Amino acid sequence: MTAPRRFAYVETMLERYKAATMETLLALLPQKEPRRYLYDLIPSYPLRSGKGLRPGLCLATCGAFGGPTERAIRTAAAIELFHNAFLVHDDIEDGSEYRRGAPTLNTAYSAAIAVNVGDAMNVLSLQALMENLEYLGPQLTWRVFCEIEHMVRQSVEGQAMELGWVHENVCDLSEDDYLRMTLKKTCWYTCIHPIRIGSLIATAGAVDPERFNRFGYYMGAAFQIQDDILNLVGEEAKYGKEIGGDIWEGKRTLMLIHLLNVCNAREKIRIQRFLAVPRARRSVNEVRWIFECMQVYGSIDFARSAARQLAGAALREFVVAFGDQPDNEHKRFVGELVLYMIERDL
Amino acid sequence: MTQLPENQQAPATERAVPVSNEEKTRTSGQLDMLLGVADTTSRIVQRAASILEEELASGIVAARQIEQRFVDVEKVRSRDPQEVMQRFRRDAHEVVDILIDLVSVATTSLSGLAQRAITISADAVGGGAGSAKPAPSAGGIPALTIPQPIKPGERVEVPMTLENDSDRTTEMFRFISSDLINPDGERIPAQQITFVPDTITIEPHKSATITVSIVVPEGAPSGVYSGLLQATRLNQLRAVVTLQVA
Repeated sequence: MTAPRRFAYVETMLERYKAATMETLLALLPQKEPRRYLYDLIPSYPLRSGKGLRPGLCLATCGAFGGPTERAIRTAAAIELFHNAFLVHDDIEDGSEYRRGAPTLNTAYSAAIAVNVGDAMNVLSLQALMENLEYLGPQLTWRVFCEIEHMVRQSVEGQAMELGWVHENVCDLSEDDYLRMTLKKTCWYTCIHPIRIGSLIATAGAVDPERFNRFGYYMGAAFQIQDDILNLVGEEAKYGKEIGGDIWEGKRTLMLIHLLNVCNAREKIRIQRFLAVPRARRSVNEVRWIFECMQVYGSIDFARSAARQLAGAALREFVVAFGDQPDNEHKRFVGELVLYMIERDL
Repeated sequence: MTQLPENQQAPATERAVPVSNEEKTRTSGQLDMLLGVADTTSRIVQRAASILEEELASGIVAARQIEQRFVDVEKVRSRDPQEVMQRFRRDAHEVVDILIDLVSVATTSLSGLAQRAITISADAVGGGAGSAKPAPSAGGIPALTIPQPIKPGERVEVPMTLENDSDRTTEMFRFISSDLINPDGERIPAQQITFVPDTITIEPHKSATITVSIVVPEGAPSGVYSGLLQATRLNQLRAVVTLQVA
């Protein structure tokens, strides 16, 4: 599959949204010291080959509801900065060495420097949201801020759920547990809130953002499951992260949860033992064995099927959420993005 | 723990993906395929919908807690907001300055919301009619404003957060209301205003929420109506309620 040919429109629009977002994001950077270990490092992650999905969804929804990009651009930059702060901190939490094809900040510098850069990204996000005041007025600025507060809170709560599962070596998880964790950790901030915020800004708060919740959730869950599948079966050069890294980390993906629920008792004990030891002491043979088990028990196909079902549901919800808006390039992008989420290979 | 069913859905690899030279045609085919998948009753989608509803319901509770947090912000500002801001701006790091600005935005645009929460001071907890009471604070009587217009015949319910920031438990009290009147002298009788729970006691440094329910009588003329809500046994616990009849 060659994604650029199949999803040329989606990727062109993503690049367009990302270019606009990056221009605003870079303009937020203070032109002063300390540069070397702070301000110079902030663009490091955003400038890598990320898709810019979150600011793209925010700007596209704003456009689909008739709003100019300019009105939502600071919020889009804030969302991208929050996202990258999560990534920087996430890499430290997971001990990851590579991100989007290059060493992580914690590897290239130190965990301490990386933590500080992540904190600075969060502060710059606040600055971008403050600047909304001049363009959106106090009421809408506050409304957007409330959306962001919920978005960030849900993300850290979802992250805490997942970290807790790994820390306590929880192995009796269900599909429901996974769906709830994914909603909190990924979907609110990857899809639901960027869409809600884009529509609120475009309509000056006239649209009821609740209409987007299901659409954003289904699309976000499909995106996360596809991301986890690519982590297992993707091409490392495209994916930009270590293939199988989630198994090494003991991440409770839908595939692992499925496997733990369908394998036999002996296999489950072996998996639990693997997950109980620290990452550094896990063996490549055991990682391979778990991957083979996922194939034998159909865990990857199960996840792929789940992603498709959720994407299908998202397409139906797209009609509910965007159906009353006239067709334009932004609306087309959002609609086609659903397919891209589950068919992409990077 | 819910066991996952095996072979819940045919593996995706068994499904044919339409391929065409025309991107539009191919995309359309895939859309149809996905919509077809969604048409079949999908357990994972149903579970996702259910979980979303649960999380949204819990979010409503969180929203009330956010309202309550603004009480503290209001307290800080009411002492002498300009002086506090200036002092922070003089001394603080840029980051703090940013946060203060955000709080300023918050308190300006949400003053109506913030005032839905009412603080019970140490003076008010003393209760009884015989005890001497200082004058009401400079902050004045809190306002409870119903955010949206209400049509005649409709009911509106508004949560009102009460915060006991004293070191003593309140006596058991309940709320009573006056008639609501508009500038033309039209009235919504006090019987139309009820409170749930009927009686309440709040422990030191705890908060509680009372739901104020107002039924606008059929035929009530449009206009802005106001009245006084007063707690029994707590001399300074009162609020002005305002609603607009459409």
